[in-house]
Amino acid sequence: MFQPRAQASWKISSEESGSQSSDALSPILSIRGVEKTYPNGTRALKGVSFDVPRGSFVAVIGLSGSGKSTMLRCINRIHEPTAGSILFDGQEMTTLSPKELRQARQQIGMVFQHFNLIKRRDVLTNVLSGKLGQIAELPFGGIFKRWPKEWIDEANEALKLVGIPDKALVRADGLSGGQQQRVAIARTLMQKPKLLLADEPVASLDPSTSNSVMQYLKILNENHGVTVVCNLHFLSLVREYATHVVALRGGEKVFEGKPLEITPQWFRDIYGEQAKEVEIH
Amino acid sequence: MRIPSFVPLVESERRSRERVGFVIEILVWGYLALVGARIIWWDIILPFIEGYAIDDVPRAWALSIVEKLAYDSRYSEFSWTACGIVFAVGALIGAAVGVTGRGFGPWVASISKLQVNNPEDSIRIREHWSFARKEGVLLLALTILTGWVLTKVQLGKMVEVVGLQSFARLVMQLACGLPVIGQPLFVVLETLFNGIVALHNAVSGLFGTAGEPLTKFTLECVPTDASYYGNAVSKLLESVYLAFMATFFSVPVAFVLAFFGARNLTRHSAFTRFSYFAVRLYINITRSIEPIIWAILFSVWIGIGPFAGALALMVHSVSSLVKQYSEAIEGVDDGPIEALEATGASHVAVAWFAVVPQVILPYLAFTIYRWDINVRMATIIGLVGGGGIGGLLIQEQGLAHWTQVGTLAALIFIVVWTMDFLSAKVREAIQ
Repeated sequence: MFQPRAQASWKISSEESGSQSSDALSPILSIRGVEKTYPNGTRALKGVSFDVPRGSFVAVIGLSGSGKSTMLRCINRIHEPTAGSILFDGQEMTTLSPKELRQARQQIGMVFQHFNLIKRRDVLTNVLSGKLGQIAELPFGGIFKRWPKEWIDEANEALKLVGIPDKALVRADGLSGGQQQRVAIARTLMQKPKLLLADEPVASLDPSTSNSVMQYLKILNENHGVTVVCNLHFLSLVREYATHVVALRGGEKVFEGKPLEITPQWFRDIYGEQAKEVEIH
Repeated sequence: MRIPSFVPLVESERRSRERVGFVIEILVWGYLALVGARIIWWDIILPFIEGYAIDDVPRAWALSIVEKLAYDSRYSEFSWTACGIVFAVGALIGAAVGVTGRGFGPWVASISKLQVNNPEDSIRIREHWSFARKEGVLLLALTILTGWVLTKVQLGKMVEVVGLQSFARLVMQLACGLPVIGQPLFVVLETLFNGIVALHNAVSGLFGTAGEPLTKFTLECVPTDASYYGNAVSKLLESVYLAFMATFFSVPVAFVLAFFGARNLTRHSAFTRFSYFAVRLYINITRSIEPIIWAILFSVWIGIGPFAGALALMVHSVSSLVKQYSEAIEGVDDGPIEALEATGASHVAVAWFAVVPQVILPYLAFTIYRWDINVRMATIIGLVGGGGIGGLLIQEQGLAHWTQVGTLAALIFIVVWTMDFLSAKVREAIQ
């Protein structure tokens, strides 16, 4: 069984989490009528709206191609939304200048299905790359800056938190899938994010590794006060970890509520009449 | 000119694709008519008829056709007016075909990445374009025929005795110049060629066809003397070092330019989009001017010698490397780029941390290969005063010292082979 391997060694203190978060009751993320049409004419999102309460663990579910990944990427504008409004911590994301956008992105962590590590670099460099946002305004994007000692300590600390402190100097492509995803989580830890976007973080992992990665996301959510928005495929994981669920189908929101409210009827609405629920333990 | 609705197209582009298809159709038929008239009628059929007309016994029908058209293959030219008229006729046919929307033009214009979901549709699409496919085959066949006529392919020339004899003589002299194996190889070739001559004479004597029997080859092999090698090798080393300098100094320039010339890193602002355009324009202009022209330009500027040659190679290497480097950048995995952008990193940092580690090995392979190419090109550059062994080569060739030319070619071959061997080893090592 999974056991957390390290105590939470840091928490986002209230000073660090910024001045705009004064109103603890307002949603941290508020999405209104977001649309995305790709250059090839595909309408991936057709006006999606939902709120993400502060401190919640929101699961976004839906079939492949339903717009989940696009939705997540529109939040930090890795993909540019075509229309709509995205309010993150009281800040309108869609109208930010490139510099302001980089600053906003520092507060939004992201993990991916395929981990997206720099494969040929060691784990420590990968973790430290989470700090690049902070030195983005230096000349040449800070690429000639040496990593400060405190950051290296912080990176080792983050690796300890995700249970792989001994892998710091191993090349990233030498790790197993689950370990790579934990490196990716450590990378976002370096950002001390308020919001974590997870794009199918366990879809390419085996069931038991999946559970352990989800546990780390849960630790971030519960012990570090990071709000999580997570694309998921397995309803069993949704029921176990999520506090809220949003379901997309064909680029439109078809369900919003608590995990336990997903009835068999809702399930067929989301996944189609033929669908049958498969379990992951 | 409508493209039917079952052909998958991005709806917003359907109208413009239809127009493009129509224009392509007109151009295709204009081309077909032009090529048909100029090549098939003018270069193949008319000379054939003319052949009958000026025969010993002229045929009346051929004579009347040739006289009516006032055709004479020695003088007449296919006038620009005739070109225009033929093209216009072809274009009219093209317009007529284009209106049906079934021709080659709309077929090409409708090609897209979109998938056909309905199996019935894919059958209908296949039927719809059946004429277009035939038109495509016709287009290809006529183009090959045109190429055949324009390159003046004359297979008969390849088996003419006089040409073969000169060829054999030259080969023997070149072979004589090879170091170490030159003389034995010369003897082998001489025996072989004289054997063929004897066989030819025997066979033609048997059938009593040929008049004069062919004479045997009576060349003498005077090998290059040892003192010649000293000069040749020093010139060769000059070429190798020249190529190295050109490669070495073009790498940093190309490294920086490549980021501005890669499509996937230059989408985000007007400045970078312009830089993409500027870099592509620069490399295409400099690449389309051959290094030999650059060598002439630089040797006029700074004087004949290896420095001019090195600069010429460098200009060419920079643009070739930028092309290869930036294509490597365009092929990288987007994942790490996305991940670092998501942390708020700047574009420079994304390029440095997410792109460079992915392209460093291809870069190394491209660079070694470029050095290899530059060594070979350095010999060509020498022809126009760029220093190195090329100058010596053009000199010996001008004096018809074929044995020396053979020696130089052998030396160049040794270097090229060594370079190829080394670059293969390095590429293996860095896999």
